[in-house]
Amino acid sequence: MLQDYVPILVMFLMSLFVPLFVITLSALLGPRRSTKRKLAPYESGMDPIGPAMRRFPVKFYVVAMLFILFDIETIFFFPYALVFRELGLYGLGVMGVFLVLLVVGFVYEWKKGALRWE
Amino acid sequence: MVPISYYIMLSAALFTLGVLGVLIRRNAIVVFMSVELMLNAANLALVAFALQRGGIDGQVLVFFVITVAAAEVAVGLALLVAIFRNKRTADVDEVNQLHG
Amino acid sequence: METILFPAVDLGVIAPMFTIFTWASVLLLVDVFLIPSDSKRFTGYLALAGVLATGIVTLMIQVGRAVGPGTSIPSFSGMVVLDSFGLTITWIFLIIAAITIAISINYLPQHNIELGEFYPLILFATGGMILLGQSTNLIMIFLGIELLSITLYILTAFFYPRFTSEEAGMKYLLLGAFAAGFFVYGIALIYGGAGTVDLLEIGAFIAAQPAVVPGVLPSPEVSLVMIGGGLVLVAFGFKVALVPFHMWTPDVYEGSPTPVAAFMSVGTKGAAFSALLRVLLIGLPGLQVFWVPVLGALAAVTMIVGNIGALQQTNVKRMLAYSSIGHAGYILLGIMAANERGTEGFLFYILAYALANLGAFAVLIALEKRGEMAWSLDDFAGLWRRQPMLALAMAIFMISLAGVHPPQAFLASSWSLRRRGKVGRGRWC
Repeated sequence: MLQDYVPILVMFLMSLFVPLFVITLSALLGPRRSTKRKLAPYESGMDPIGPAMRRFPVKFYVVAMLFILFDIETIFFFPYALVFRELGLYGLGVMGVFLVLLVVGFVYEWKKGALRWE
Repeated sequence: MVPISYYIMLSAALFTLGVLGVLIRRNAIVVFMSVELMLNAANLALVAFALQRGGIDGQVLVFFVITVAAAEVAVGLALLVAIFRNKRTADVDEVNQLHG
Repeated sequence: METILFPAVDLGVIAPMFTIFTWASVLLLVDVFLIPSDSKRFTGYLALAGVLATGIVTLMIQVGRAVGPGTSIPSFSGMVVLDSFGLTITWIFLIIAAITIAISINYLPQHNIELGEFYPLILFATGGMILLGQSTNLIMIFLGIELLSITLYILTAFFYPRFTSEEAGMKYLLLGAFAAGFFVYGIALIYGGAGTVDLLEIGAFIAAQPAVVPGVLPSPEVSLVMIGGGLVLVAFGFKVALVPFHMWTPDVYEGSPTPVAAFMSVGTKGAAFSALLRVLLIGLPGLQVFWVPVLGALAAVTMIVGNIGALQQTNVKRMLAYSSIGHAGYILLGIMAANERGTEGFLFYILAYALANLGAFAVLIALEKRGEMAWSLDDFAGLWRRQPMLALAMAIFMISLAGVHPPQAFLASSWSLRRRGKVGRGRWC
């Protein structure tokens, strides 16, 4: 029933209220004396150079792509891990075929040099 | 328990948002994200129906949809990087040399 | 603990696609490890051998299981089926793959895009097509379509770093992914209505419901199946380039390497239409009153737009693209016939169309090889004096695509038209 979710609603409201309350309080009561040093993004670090939305090397995209592909395999492994005893040898064989296909992709990718950073 | 129809309404809303995103947005990455939204809306509907029906066909299909979406995005990102190297843009309107 | 029942697995049913997928995976590794980059032609020959091996396996299955008309051997919980329709379309796909590889072996080095990956990708796509021809379950149809499409996205952009090719790949991918979204949502709704993704069970579910008639609101479950079926039809429309979902076709054909355009034009059509045939005839025959008029309208618009569009083109590849759109309309008519002879006509038409279209593309490739610019229609002026044989071949293929002559194309198109007449008398009037 929907009533079961009332505590979550209460938690949402609380987590909305508390930060708002604290921020309002400090804005009303806190003293404001800004200096140049205080306004810097990092009080004791190097100055950030350039905008945050800068382009980064394409290499990251390649890594992201490869990561996606090998990350998704886990959704097939998790259900298998839950019932692998019941599935026995049959399941082992099926997952073996699946793994062989993954390894084919992995070996190909390795040999092509996609894993080399430079 | 939340009625199944709520899930279906949510998934229909998400699907519509995805379709609108594909039709309206011009940045290829955002278009990809909209397609993902469509696929995940379908996933939500599948899981909800599987819960209602008590079968697992829907859940099994969700796995495959996730996998296929990942493969599609990987190819899409590769193409996007290639186009970006050529043209320095991800705007689908600027990628328009072919027309008859 | 609940005991898990294993489905009966009959590997013979999937033997052709098993062979081609295994061959493709091994070929991918063989290509990377053993074949030096200056002799990638050899990978092509190995891929041809793979198609041949798949053909031999298919023949062994066909003879060994005595597959004839009426045979139907389901396996993997009814997800795939071995029947004469599936095997016939498998043969057609293998012919298409063999011709594509054969015309690519010289094309790729001439355009400096000779990479070994090309051939395994063609094999993977062919495997996806075979899967589409054999599957009787919406999950398998989805996987087949995506397997075929994703490899085709890569093949379309194979002219890297030529920009038009990348653009074509991108357009194809964006629209293909969009269509996949519709397809999955359609499956979700069908599953919600019928409670199954198996085509036979969907058919049984609809048959058990009160008969659906226009004008009367069906039960919520049947309405869900109907909406889902509509979304699935939209997705198929994108894949086979039915008007109004055809916009990508000319751009993609123009941008992609010519052998890929040839492969795509006939392969995708054959595979997606054979899957659509099963969805409509096995899964949704009970809703015929709805989809027959819709498909009829789509087919009519597709034929008109495709043929008129082709007239306006000056680029040969774009013209062939519009011609393929028009042909999608004709094939749709064969499907609408919804009976045994309609299926035969469909297979026959696909074969005739595949040969004529692959031939036309092959002539384009041959012309490019001899230094002719075969992009614009003006380039064909006076071809008879320069390359008489090629000009003759092109003329024959063009006439055959137009459906006038030689006999088989004529027969097929008149056949499907006659089907249309039958449907018209039987169901519309």
